[in-house]
Amino acid sequence: MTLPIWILLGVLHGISLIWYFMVRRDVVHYAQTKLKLVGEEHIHEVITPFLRRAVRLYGIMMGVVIIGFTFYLYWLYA
Amino acid sequence: MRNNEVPIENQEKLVLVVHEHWMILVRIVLLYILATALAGFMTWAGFHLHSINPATGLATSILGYLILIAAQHWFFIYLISIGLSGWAITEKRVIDFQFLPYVRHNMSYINIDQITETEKDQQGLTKNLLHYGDVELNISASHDIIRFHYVPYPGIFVETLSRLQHRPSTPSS
Repeated sequence: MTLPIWILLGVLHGISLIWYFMVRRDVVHYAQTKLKLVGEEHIHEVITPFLRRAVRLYGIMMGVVIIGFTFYLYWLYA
Repeated sequence: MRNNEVPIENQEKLVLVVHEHWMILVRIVLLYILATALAGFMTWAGFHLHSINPATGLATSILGYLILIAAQHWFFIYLISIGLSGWAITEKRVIDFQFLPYVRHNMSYINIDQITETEKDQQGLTKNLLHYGDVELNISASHDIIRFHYVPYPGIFVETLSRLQHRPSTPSS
């Protein structure tokens, strides 16, 4: 595999990772605002297990796709 | 009347927190599966094209990757948005939270005193079987009808609002 393809892949992976962390930050920001409104004692109704799992799964799936595809291309074209 | 960015008073008690019904996820999950299958097909095609024309094979594989990564982001962003969107009913207000990362950060407040009519729309087999529906609020100060979609157990939502509207008002200290 040629260098430009690696660079392209690196840029795409980088954009994906930056976007993932930006989304995480925005989620935390909105959840904090919501928590201030409904009260700290209702944290489990704002930050639900569903939300926690969704954010965690997002990260895991991003990792799986990025690492998996890099290995696939490396194996195919190296 | 909807006001934005009005903090809840300290003595205002939270009565009910409702998130959108899981039925809203069905369409998103189906589209995600479809996009992932398409990406898998593109990658498979790229693998087989590689022996015929490496450049076409690589381009097809990269296209498959782009579809997959776009589907991932789209799916999880909507999943998170559903996790944070919803409604909260306090003693005095209904708060509508609508969130989509970097796109929608809405929080709308509806004073319960200003609600003239509350309707629940739960028509159809799936809505009654899975206990979800729409809730319509008519506001005295405006001609707009505020409609909440995919409300789980809309009867409880409407009943809670009605109970809060008809309870005797307590003197403020």
